[in-house]
Amino acid sequence: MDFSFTKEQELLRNSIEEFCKKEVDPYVSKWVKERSFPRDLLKKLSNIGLTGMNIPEELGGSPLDNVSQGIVAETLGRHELVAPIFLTIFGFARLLPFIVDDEVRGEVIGKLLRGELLIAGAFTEPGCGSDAAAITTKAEKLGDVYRVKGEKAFITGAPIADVFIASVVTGSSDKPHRNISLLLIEANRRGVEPYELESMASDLKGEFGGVIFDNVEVPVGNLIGMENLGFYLLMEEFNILRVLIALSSLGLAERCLEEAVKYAKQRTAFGQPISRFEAVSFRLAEHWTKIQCAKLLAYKALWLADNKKPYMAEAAAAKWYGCEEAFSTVNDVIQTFGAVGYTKDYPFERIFRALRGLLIGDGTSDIMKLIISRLLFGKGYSP
Amino acid sequence: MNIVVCVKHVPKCAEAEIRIDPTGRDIEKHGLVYDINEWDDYAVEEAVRIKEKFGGSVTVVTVGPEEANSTLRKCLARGADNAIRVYDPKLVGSDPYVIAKVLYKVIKNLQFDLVLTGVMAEDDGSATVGPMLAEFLKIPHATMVKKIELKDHKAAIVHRELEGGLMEVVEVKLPALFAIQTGINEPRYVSILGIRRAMQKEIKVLGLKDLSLDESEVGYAGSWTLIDKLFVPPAEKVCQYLKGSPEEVATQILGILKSRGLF
Repeated sequence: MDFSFTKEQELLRNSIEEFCKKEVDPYVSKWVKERSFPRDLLKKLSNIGLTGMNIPEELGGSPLDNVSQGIVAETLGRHELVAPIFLTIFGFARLLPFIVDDEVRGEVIGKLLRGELLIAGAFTEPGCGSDAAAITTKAEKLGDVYRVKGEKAFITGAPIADVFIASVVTGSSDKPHRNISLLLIEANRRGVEPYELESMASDLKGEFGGVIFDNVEVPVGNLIGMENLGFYLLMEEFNILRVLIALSSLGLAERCLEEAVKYAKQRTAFGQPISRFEAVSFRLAEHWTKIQCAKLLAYKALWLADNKKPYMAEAAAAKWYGCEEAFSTVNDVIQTFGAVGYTKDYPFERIFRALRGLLIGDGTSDIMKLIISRLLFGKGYSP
Repeated sequence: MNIVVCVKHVPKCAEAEIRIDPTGRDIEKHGLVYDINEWDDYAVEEAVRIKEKFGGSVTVVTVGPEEANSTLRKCLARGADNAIRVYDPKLVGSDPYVIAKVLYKVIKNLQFDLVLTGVMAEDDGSATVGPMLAEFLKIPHATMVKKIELKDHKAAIVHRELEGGLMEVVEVKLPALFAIQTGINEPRYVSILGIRRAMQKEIKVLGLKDLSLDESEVGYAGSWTLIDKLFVPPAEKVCQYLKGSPEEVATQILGILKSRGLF
């Protein structure tokens, strides 16, 4: 058993850390204060190849294995990489090579590699989320176009996205999972109407919202994968994305923990540093332990995926446990800082709000436990 | 234009808690993060830019243990072509004179038009390896270099950063050694493709025998200087009250910052 990362992976971590220290850290507070979305960051990430890490070499990408992507996600997470960019490069970019039409695929991937493409995943609807096969947005095939009608909601980056990857009903079999296809829908098509939603964590303009597809005509070449099999492609993509989300939130939580440790050594109360009080030091020691456990679980899931072994239960476990532990850590980091940790002078309150969303987004903690239960008990003993 | 860049793998002390080790002559290295010396980072970038403009090759050389490979790989990922690492356990304790001599033994066998070093290393701050290496190689040198303009393969115009915001422009015959100042360029970020390239390249490792060096010439035995003592000076708390109008106080603050090299 070998827990070490390769030299290549260590260099990758070091390089991303250096990038973030110069290109992200000095600006995060400013972006939040001005509510401005850092569109140019996507361009900068593309310059070092990160928008191409899910694109095969033959299509111009610079692919990375899943464990390496975990390292990138953890490191970018440490520096609060904003959600719409995170989801674009780690999640939805994975689906672009499956676009049916060569020309559309080439053009879209070209934009992604140049850092000019922000992708939003339009799957959830006002009436369904976890039950992803219960969608009602329909795509009717009329010759060489699909006509798409419906509404998608609670989408990261919807108001600022250049393209949507939308799940739509194209089939009529009695099994809802087998009726769903994925379509690439450009935001500038007639009838695409994005709108903004305020969430507890949407600090940046356009970070969260929904979109209405009002009889949007989409060429059939914009189909992603095979018609009526989109649900399976989507679930596979989500399995990996969930682990990467867990690692990014754990990276962020670990950085907050480091700050809390520094603070507890400096801050004095009753004549001594508060780190000497076990109520403070044990709490942080416990979180350190749990973060390490969660990271091991996440990297194991990615390692299993890289080695073509089943990893669904590990991925689900990594998502719920990792995100909940990250949230809980930051909660206690705020407790360690006391009143100042609660102010907007420190980043913890906004991190706390952002991490809360991850217990819901991209697979709720409950659904993750459902996935594990199904594997534990078998179909006959689980919902 | 063939360029050799001397780099050092150093502990990053700026943000770390530094403790003196029990010998009283070194710092506790355990737990410190190591990376390329900041000045050398600029030197490597400058070398790669010159290569991209004029052709040729960039060879990075370091003296250090296996861990220093990570610094060399970073240089390869940024565009260096070859990497050489010199190491022997007997090199422990070597002073800048010995390091310059070891580097000389490596570089004298290479084809080069330029040798670049950082102005100084962040850990020992001696700033002497560059000039001594130039003496060993019997080539001219310039320190605190903030700009390099190559006239042809025979000479270079370099801008040297002096105290008080002064710049000095000198013409130097090639081959030459330049000790590079930070801020001469903006070092590029390492890309995924760069990392992939770097992992395919070999790091050449040389020992004392390869360089015809005797144990007595290196380490503590071969050094001209020996660290006697390392200590953290007691913090002096001096509070200076500035008087005058806000404008006058601002001017005074600016003066103080300038005098300490902070502005």
